[in-house]
Amino acid sequence: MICRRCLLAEMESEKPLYELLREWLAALPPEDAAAPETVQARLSACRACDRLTNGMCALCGCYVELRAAKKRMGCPDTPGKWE
Amino acid sequence: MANITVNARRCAGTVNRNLFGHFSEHLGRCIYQGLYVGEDSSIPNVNGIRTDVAEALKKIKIPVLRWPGGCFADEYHWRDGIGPKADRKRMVNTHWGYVVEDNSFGTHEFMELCRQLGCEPYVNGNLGSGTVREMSEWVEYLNSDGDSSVVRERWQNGRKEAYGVKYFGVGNENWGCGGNMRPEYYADEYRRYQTYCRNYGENKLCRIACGPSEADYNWMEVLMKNDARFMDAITMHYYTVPGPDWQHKGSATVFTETEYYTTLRKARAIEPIIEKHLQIMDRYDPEHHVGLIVDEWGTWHDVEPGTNPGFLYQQNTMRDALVAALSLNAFIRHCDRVVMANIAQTVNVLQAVVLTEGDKMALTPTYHVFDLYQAHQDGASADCFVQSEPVADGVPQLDATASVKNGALTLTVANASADKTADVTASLDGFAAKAVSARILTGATGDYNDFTHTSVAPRAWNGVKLAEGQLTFTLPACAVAEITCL
Repeated sequence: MICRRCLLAEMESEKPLYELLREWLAALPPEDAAAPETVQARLSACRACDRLTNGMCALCGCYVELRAAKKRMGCPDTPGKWE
Repeated sequence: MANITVNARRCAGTVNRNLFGHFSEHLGRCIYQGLYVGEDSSIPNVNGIRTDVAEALKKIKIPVLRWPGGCFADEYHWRDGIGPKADRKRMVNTHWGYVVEDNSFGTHEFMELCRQLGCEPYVNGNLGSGTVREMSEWVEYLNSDGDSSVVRERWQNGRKEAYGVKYFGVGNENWGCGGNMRPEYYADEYRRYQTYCRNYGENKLCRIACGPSEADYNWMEVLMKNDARFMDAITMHYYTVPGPDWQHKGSATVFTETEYYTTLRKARAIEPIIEKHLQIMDRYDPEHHVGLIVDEWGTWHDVEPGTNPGFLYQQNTMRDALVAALSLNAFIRHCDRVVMANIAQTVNVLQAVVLTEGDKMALTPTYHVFDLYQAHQDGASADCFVQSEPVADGVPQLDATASVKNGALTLTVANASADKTADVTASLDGFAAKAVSARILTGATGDYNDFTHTSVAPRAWNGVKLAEGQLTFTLPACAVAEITCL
C-alpha cells in the first residue's frame, strides 16, 4: 500500500517499522530533541508536501517522524518548508 | 621501520582507468535526487543532471559508469524509459524501497549524464525478466546507424547519431536477484542472449557475462569452461560487511577498534578471492582475452537510523577510506587481468563518494581516496614490495601501489593502523626521482563529513624527503597518501 500523505503512525501496514521508530524516538537524548510544538509544526509541513510517501521524505530518505524530532535537523527542500 | 621497494622496471601491465569506475542504480536516492533532479528543479542542473555532483565527479576523472543496476537491471525494461516523459510507464521499484519509479531517468538521460561527466557508459541489460529481442533492440537503439524502425525511434526521441556504447552487461547477479539460475543454465542463456547483441559500425561491443558472487568458484568454472569464447569480460561482486552476518552489519559511524580491524581484514580478503578466480580464468583463457570486472564492491553497513531500509543510505568514515585504498590496491596489483571495477554506489547508496540532501552535497572520505588515486589511471604499474608489521587481526600496517605515467611515478600508501604512525623508507629502482610532492588524507578512524561540517579532506603534505633515490617519511595513523616523484 502506498500513501502519499501518511505518517508511519497512521499506517497499519507499517506498524512494525513504526514500533522501531518509537524505539529510536525514545532513545533520543533530551538535549537533541526538538520541542513538541516544533515537531508538530514540522510534521504538518511534511503532510502538505508532495515529497512525502509512506512517512518518508523522498529528498533525504528519512522517516519524517524521526527527522522532525531531532532539534538540529532541517527540511531538505529548497527552500526549506520547516522554517 | 617499514620498507617499500618500488621497481619501475617490473610492470605487470597498464592500470586501466576503468579500475576507478562507478556504479549507479535506480536504488534509493542514487539516481533520483543524487544524480538527477529533473530540468524543473530549483537545484542547479544541466538537463536535469545536478551541477554540483557532476562537477565533483569530473574532478576525480570518473572513467566509466555502470547503469541501471544491479538487481534493478533484471527488472528494467528500457522502452519504459524513452519517449515523452509524461507518457513513460510508472512502476513500483520492488527491489528497493517500494517507491514509485516514473522512468523520468532513462536511456537518453543516462547517456546525457555520461556526456557531461566525460565517462564511458556501461549499460547492464536485462536477462532475468527481459527477452532476447528486448536486449538485442536496446543495443541496436544505442549503437546502430542503420535506417531501421528501432533507430528511427531514437531519431524521434531527439538523437540522430549512434551512442557507441562499448560496455554491455548480459544480466546481473543471475545466481540471485537476476533469476536465481544455476551456472549451467545461465551459461546457456548467456550464449543465446549475447548472440544478438551485435556490433554496429566500428563499435566493438565488450560483452560482459555475469560472474560469481565472492568465492563462488564453481560459477566461474562453469562460465569459463562453457562460455569463455563468447565473452570479453566476466564480473564478480564482493562486499565488505563488517558485522558477523547480513542481519548485523554494524553502524557506519559507531564502531570499536576491533570492528575497525575486522572491517579491514574483510576488505583485504577480496585479493585472494580474485587470485583464485584468475587461476580458473587462466586455465580456460591463457591468452587473457577475457577480463575480470569487479563491478560491485565496497562496504555495506546498516542504514543510517531513521532512513528507509530499502534505500541503503549509509555514512562514510575514514574506515571506509582505508577500505577503498586497500581494495583499489588489490585491483591495481592484478591489472593484467582486472580491467574494470565499479564502486557501489556513486551517490547516496552504500559506500558512496558523494552524499546529497536537498541542495546540499558532501564529499565522503572515499571520494578523496579516488582523488588521491586518479594519477594511476592508465599508468604503467610498477612492482611494489611492502614490508611492515601486522597491526591487528592479520592486517599489515602498510599497503602500497605504484605506477608511472608521463615521466612521473605515483606511489599511493595506506597506513591501516588506528593509532600508530609508520616510519617508512621507500627505495625507487628504475626511476630517477629529482623532486617529490605529496598529498595526504588522515584522521581518526570514525571521522566523516556531513552537510554541516567537512573536516575530512586531503591536504598538501611536505613530510616526504627525497635523498639518494630514496624516500623517507613518517605516515600518520589511519592515512592514505599520494606521493608524486618527478
